[in-house]
Amino acid sequence: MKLRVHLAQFYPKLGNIEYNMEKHIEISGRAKDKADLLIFPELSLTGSNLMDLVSEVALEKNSKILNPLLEFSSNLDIIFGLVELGENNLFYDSAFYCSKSSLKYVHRKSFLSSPRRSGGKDYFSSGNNTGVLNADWGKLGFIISDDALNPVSVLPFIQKNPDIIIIIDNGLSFGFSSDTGIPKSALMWKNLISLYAQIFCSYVIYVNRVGFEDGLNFFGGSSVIDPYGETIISCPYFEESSLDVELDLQTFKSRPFNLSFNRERLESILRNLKDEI
Amino acid sequence: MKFKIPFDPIYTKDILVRFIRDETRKFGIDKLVIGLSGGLDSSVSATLGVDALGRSNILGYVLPYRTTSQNSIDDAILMAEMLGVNTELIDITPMVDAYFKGETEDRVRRGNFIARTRMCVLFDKSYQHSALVLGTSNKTELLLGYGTIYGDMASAINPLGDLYKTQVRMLAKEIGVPDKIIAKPPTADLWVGQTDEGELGLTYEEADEILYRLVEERIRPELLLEMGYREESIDKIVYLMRKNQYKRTLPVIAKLSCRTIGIDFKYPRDWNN
Repeated sequence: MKLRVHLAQFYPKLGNIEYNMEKHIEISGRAKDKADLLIFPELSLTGSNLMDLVSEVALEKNSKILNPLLEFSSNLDIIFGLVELGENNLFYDSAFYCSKSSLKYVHRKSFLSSPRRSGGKDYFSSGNNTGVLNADWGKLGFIISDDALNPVSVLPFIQKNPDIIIIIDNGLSFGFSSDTGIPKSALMWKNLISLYAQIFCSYVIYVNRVGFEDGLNFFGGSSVIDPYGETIISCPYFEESSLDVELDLQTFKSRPFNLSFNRERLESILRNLKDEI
Repeated sequence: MKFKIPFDPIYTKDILVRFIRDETRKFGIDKLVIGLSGGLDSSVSATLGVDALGRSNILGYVLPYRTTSQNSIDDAILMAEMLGVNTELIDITPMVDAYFKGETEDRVRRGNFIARTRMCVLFDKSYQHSALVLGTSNKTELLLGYGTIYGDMASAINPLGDLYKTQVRMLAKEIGVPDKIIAKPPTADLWVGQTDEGELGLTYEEADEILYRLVEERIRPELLLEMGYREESIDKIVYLMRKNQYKRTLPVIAKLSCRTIGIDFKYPRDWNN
């Protein structure tokens, strides 16, 4: 099984769904004939540092505003990020997976960032999905930004063994690194996604945004990592960009050191942990 | 081994040029005004501004008071000529002296008024030219409160606000600010003989190292003492940081309604981009 993926590293306008939707439509139009899966960054429809705008840009699952993307998804699977107005009027930092003209899966961010950012606990509620989806082309593991920093988020991947782990991010640029020209935060993410690829013997697709919001700067650097932890291809830092990649999902299936799941061992660890807590 | 504050001038220049360009143009504006003092900070900000928007979109203002040294004026003009930016010299002495009419010898009062008069001129010019005011306050000054609130601390966008003074020096070398400007003793030049380090009682090297340990590394003052830093310096820096917190915030508002500006009415500055 080969999967053609289009990564859209773009710069959403903060709080401007109309503009951002136009960009999504434009990018979807470019991708539809050359990709099977199109991936946008976290909160791609709204921007990141929303603060009180969260309630004003939130959309329900059945919002008509999303129809153009559902239409494109008739023959192009699309993942995009938005503020979701969920049940009980709670807001979620969500990723929607659209396929065959319908919303197939909603993944909600669990571990919320510090309050200074839109992902903060002041505004959003925590999701509790496992983050694993059976798509037509294989098994997909989902992570939204800082969830990747908490190992609990990836626990389901031990059992489910996804073919691809997709991380969508609003990754901030900060800190000085030893690697000239690249922020410390970008190097941290590079190392982390390489580690996940190796641990789970899976492709990792990392899609980040770029641009500035109130001085916050998002570094981009979207990339695709193979199960050995090597970067196959990546977007430049700080620039709007896109890239196409074709992944052979069979190639690594026969790796002799593929992750072998031991249910008894995992259950034993969880049981012990529960006792200790 | 001597501690060195981490810094990457290439990355920093890249981000700050993008920052200036982005945070100006997203509001439909393509011009910046900047006060040129002949010192390090305004020279670095102006150079970054030119890199971001081009020399024709940077408007420099040299705003001397009668006590401003000729050396500062010369260096400001040197910088403006080197960058090729349109520059106007406006003597603010009549404005300042018209207010005081010789009534005060308090140099701090007069100094603050000079700084605020410059701010008034720059913001007026920004309106006249549909431009934004480019800031020049560095992180050391902001943390220590070494500046005049609503004076030199005021601006629309500030590219230097997250850089310590010693990092600004390193950046200055990277972007080609003349050595004579980098090397001269920093001064607000609000009265004759004033120097930053003389007034603070600290060198910028010492202040930045302690600030970096306190702010970035979150090391507690008592541990800094054990690490060998001077008690007098630690105490002074901690005192100034706390005392001047008000200079880094908007005026405090008493909460009466359900949604109070700054407390629970929180919108990003880029709301209307």
